[in-house]
Amino acid sequence: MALAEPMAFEGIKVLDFTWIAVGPITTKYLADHGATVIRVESVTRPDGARTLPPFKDAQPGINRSQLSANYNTSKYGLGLNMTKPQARELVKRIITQWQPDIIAESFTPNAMRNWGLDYQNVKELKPDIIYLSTCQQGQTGPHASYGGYGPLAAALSGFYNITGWPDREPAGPYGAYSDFINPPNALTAIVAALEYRRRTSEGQHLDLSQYECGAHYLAPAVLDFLVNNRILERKGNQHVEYAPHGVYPCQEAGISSAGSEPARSEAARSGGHWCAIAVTSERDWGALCGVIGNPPWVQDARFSTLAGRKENEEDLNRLLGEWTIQHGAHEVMRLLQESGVPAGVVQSQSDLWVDPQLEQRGFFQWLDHPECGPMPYDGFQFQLSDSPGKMRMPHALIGEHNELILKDFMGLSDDEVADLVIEEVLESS
Amino acid sequence: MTLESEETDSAMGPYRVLDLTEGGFNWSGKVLADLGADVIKVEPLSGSATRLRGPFYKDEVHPERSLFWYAYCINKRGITLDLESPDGQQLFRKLAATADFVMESFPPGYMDNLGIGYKDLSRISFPQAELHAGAQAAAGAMVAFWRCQKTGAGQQVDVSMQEAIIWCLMGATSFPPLHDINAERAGAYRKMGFLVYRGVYPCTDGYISALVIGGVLGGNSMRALVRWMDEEGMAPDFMKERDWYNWDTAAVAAQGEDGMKDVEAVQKSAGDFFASKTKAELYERAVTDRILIAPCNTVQDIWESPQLKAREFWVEVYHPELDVPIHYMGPYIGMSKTPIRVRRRAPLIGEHNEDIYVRELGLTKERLEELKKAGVV
Repeated sequence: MALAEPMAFEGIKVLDFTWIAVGPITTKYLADHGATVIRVESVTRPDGARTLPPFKDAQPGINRSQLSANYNTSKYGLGLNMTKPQARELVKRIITQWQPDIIAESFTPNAMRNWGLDYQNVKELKPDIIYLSTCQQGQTGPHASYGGYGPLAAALSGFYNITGWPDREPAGPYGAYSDFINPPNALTAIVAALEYRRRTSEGQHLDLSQYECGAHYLAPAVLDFLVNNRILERKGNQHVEYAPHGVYPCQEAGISSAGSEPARSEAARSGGHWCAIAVTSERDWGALCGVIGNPPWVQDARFSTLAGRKENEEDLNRLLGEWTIQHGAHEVMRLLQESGVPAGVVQSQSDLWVDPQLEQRGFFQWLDHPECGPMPYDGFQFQLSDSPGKMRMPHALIGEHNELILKDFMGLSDDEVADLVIEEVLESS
Repeated sequence: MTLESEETDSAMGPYRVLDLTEGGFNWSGKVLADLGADVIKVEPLSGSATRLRGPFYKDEVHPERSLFWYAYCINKRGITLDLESPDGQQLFRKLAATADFVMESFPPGYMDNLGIGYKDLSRISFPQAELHAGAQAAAGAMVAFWRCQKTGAGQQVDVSMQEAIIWCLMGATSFPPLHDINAERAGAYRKMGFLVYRGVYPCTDGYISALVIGGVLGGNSMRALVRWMDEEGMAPDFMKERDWYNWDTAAVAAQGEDGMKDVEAVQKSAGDFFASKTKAELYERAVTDRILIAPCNTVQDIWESPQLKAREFWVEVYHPELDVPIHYMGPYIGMSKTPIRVRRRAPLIGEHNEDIYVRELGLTKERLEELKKAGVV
């Protein structure tokens, strides 16, 4: 029985000062699951994510970035010039009058303090507030004021040094990697804080250092250093312990089984054809040998143990590659998966749009944006059986809901709103 | 920070989680354990398969020596149970009745076939995931938990590892429909359609990640960087005169070939400057002048970070079996009222069998012995 109502966070109110990715993604979970989220933005100092591609029709523009759109569904847009004292007064009035349950901000620690809106000040106005502060290196310590984005926190957390080929410079993961580690973990802590407040009526301050949370995803490697004095370095596609483990070249023919050929762009075809294979047990090694027809070389004593395979990995990879190159990547994946060997075809972004699994789960969605028209959005990262959540609104323009928020949510008069416009406190894009 | 002996206030203290996940999916239970929940690893009699994940303490491949297990099962308790035997299933149902969350990462259908799937238990559960998926699973479980607090109704949380990882592509998924291209791998560079930029630069003793971009994102950083380059006579004239806040790099690149040439010239000059400095020199100035530079840290650099030390990030945990203390990374998030604490090292195989089966579920000691003999626990 589907019981979509109520949405999980119905009745929860969020005042959202976050920008770029970590904060917006965190509050997006709340918004898509029913919370009323007012996102404060500025035209004079816009969210930098609005300046990053992809853009609608490949044309830059403050309302045209799909990158920022992706992280800001279901939120109301309030445009404020926070350098004006009237704007800061208005925010205080929103806190006392609208009574948000949660405030989130992702500036370096001084910004909210300078506006008189840090946790200590807000607590005076609303004692049970749950207040999330997230920045690169946390609210305290000698590097607290360090400003940066995911590509920097991800390098601090150790991911860049271990990503790439051993004989080349680090490649680093694509994008702002730590920006995708932090948000779900922040949400978990926020709900835990909501639960604690439900029991005790006490709010609290959450301090999320994107460096620290990110480093947890390398915890075993950190322990390996502290206990065994080993420093993990980049190894291409090899695994520290297992072999064969890598990405193997495949034949160009046969790739179309992922979807209809016309759906694949030129660029996708130029990306090459590869299949990732990860053998992590003797059972899987035996199964792989069976799939490739037990050629004589698999009997070679050098490959009979994991240690031997690891030691002779280069030869092993070359020989396995001689088999994979005779088959399409999807065929390699299918044959190996059918035998229980972990294998996955290397897909480009355009491949994802014709991936039958994603299609069946309805992953990608299109929302009608007020300026850009239909815009594509990535789907959810978890599906709930009874209250699935919904992207209820596309990315708001800056200040798109100024009137709705101030008049309907706050009960300001037409004159009060007009004054704020004249004083250039309110902004819109 | 050292281990606290007394229980302190925690956000999720009143709740119990049965954690049947393997590998990196263990992150989901670890997060809830950190937040105070009573997370119980339910393992097969020979121990969880995750115990054979390296690296290992002193490189000894042994189920009680996995550093992977130590890292992601800290703060959890552990029991053994044969889920494939009828007695085991009965015991599991009894245990599940005391739990608020059940987490599993078996292939879809495995739990259902044993008669202990979501439909049979009707609590909160989810399949699939590794670290990212584990985090999404914990987040999804908490969304379901919050709704359950209001409505009393549990639900199933379904996490696809593929979807969790696609989210890490930073919206590159939309390059095909919007730009009619794919973002491609480019080593130390980033190719985001018309915007190509260098993300990693060599310096005298290693590498840094740097964003040599202007506009809203990097205008202030560029101003500070060029000022520093100028101090050392390494700023070309065209860079000294520029209004960096209005030099929106993506918009410049979108202008075509001339725009990209300009972006390349700026990044080349900055790169030459970086190549004359050490990681430490670049990072020090990045902190004081807010320049978008970070060293490509090794795990040793992380351990030696003065910032992490100042924040008392490291937690020393004593392992009686090994008779050594081991340092772990501390709270993944600071919480002023319900701080995350390390309460116990990762469990040994069946370490809490007696605590949970006898003292908490009320089985007699004799019954536990019978079950042990029958190979159920």
